[in-house]
Amino acid sequence: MNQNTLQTKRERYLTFYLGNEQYGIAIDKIKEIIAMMKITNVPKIPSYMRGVINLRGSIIPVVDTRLRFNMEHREADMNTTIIIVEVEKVSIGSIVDRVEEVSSIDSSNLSEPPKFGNNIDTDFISCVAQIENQVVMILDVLKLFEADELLSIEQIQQKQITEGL
Amino acid sequence: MTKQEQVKAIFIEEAGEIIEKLDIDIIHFEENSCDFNLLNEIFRGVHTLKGNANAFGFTRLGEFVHHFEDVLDYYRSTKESIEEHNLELFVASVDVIKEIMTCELDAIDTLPESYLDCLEKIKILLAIKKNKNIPFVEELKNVSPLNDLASEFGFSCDEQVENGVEKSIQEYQAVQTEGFNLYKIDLMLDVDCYKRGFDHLLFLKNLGEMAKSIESFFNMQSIDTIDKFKSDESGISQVSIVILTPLSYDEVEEFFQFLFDNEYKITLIKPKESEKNVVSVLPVASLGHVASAATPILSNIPNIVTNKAVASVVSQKSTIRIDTFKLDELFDSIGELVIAQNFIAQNEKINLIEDESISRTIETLSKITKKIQDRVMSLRMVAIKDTFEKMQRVVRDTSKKTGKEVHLILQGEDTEIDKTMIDSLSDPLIHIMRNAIDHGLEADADERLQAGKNVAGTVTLKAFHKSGSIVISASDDGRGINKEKVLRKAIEKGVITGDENLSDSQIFALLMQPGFSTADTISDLSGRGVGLDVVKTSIEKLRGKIEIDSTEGKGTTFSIILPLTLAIIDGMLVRCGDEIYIIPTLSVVESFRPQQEIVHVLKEKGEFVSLRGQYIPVVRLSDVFNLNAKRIEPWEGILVCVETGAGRIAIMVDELVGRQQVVIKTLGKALVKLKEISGGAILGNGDIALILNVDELRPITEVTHV
Repeated sequence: MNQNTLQTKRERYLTFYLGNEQYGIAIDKIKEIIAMMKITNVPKIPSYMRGVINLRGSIIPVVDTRLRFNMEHREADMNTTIIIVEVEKVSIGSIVDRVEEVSSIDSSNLSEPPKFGNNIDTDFISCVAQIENQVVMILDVLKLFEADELLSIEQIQQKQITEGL
Repeated sequence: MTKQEQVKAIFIEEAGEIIEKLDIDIIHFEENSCDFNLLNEIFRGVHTLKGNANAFGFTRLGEFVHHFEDVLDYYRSTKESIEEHNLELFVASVDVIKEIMTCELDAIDTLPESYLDCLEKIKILLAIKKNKNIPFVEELKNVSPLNDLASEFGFSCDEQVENGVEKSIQEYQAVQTEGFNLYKIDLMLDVDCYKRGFDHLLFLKNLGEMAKSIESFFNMQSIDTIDKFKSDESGISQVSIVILTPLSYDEVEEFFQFLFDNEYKITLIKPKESEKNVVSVLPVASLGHVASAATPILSNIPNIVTNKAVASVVSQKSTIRIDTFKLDELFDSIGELVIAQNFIAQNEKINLIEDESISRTIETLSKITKKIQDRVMSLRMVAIKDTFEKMQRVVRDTSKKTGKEVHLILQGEDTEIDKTMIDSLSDPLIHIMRNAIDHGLEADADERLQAGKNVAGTVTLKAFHKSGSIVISASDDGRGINKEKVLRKAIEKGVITGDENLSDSQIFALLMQPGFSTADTISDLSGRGVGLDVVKTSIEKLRGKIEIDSTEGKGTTFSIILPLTLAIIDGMLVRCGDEIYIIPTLSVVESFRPQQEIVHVLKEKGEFVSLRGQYIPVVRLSDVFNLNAKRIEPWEGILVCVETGAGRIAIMVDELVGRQQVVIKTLGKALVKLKEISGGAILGNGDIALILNVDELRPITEVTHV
């Protein structure tokens, strides 16, 4: 990394917590932040998809980000928040434990995510930022909620199976 | 997109609409060629098209339309009855217009073959008509008080014009009565105004039709000498018009749609003003150098007294273009409004206030909200009428080409379909209609007579609602489909091996396989085998399906079955576990709580309920959806018997909640693969209920015996 020659550019990120880990999403991908609301169950969908919500007249699918990252389920409390993310004109809600703040991160503070072997979770992390003493994992929402993500997950699993063989 | 491109896009859209309308109108006109209102309508369309085409540099279109317009205008003004072969020419002309339009849009240099041919015919027709009617033309000229324009060139002075205009203004003011407005209009035309569809005489004529009196002053000075004269350029640039009319300023301005803003100036002359004021109203400066030799050409067009009827006879549909995205947004907002309204109506605290005026206001509010909701919901829905009317044209052409006499019967034209679907329906329908006539109907009259049918074939186009879907069916009373022939062909083409035991509908479905055609001879219209599979794919894109039904010797029916993506459905709300689901009421046959005796369990086949001698499979919703509901027996719950594509099933739910009209909303791309659910709807309290796709519900027999 030739950080000295890089033009420093500040980008703004919304940071939130899942358990003790802090994550960030680029602010321009975020449509709004709402409090936890009633989620209607939809049958026959992957367990990390919690169902759908009525966001002022539009029906929007909601993903439990904890389950998405293979973390344990946690009951909603007063800090639980739904972040409405807009990816390729599709709105998707994602449940997080607690929203922290909007912070400006200097691009020079961003670095490549560490490799954890074959763990697919790192696919969603576009980079890692250092804010004071905290490490913030910046998520790539496009990868996280790819429009045909059900299909792509199946493909990944298939690939793993075939590779495993 | 630049401003220019935007305007152009609007033009293209508008031109498309005009041409579409022309297409329908001309067919109607062909049937009833005495309907001069319709001819007027066609003329207006052509006229607008001409103006627009020239304004955007589509000269080839402009040229053709220009001549077509002349012919139409001739018939329009003479009210002469139109010969059959000329009607044919009109229909062909509309076709040519369509073709040129595509050429212009794709910037193709070559003209369609029929272009010159058709244009030539029109020109000849016009020439013949014009010659025969020289007396008529002369008569028109006689209207103008001064036949010899040249003699008028003698007196040329500014005062002459000014005086002329002023004098007539004063005269008109003297006779001006309540309800009439006096305008002075100054035109400063660019030389290219003809190309934009402007025509002095036609313009004055149109204006005159709406006026009580009209007087015009032409400045002839700028006309070039005869050797420099160009027929396609306007030599007369300055015209002053004094007009007495009941029209408002805006209405008068409508006549100037082909002119740029700087080319005309309309001045409203106030009634009963003193002479001095009048003069001040006149923009002397512009008039002064404008007019040097003016000639009153048309004066007091005899008593075409302002007959309001002229304008209102033709009931033009007034429409606004709205981005569908904006409509969707409006939808959502109204949905919220309804929820908020319900919240107030059901709020306990508010209900505790026992005040009549409050409860009445809430009542009114709910009525208004309901009304708005209904209106907004209907905005996206369009009657299928226009698409059906287009088919008349297709039937006519196909009938002419094949030489078969065909009657088209349209039914259910008022059935409403989502606008987005209508647009993609037209092509598949055209194909099916052509097929029905070309293949479906018997080749010659004798064959039909022998079969005991009328010589004229009948094709019926129908649209209706059925079990939560919209069905559009096209039936012919032709020879039907020969199953053996289809099977033979399919084996020949290697589509099937011949060992399969196929049902009738499966055999007919073979027709929609790519590269499949049973026609013995390939005709211009159909039979190339690239048809029905394309139709099938385009209908599948709309998430619909096609079914073919045929009885040999009796006829064939193609049914396009479309889902109601955004349509409003009447839904039955049912509860299962903690969730509310919606079953489209249209597919519900009945709902009941069964007696224990009529419920049977067949080993490895699941549960059945015997209803009036019929065994209907029971589908446990909680099993299908893996709900964590308490398992109950069918006689403790409610069975909703529904009609599906694969026969009747009885859906078992915990209880019925109610019935409600709902808007289907998609669950988004990620959930669209859920076959059992066709969408979601937002209920009055803001909750979401999922809408069941009953066609995809199957009893889970494995689960029951595992």
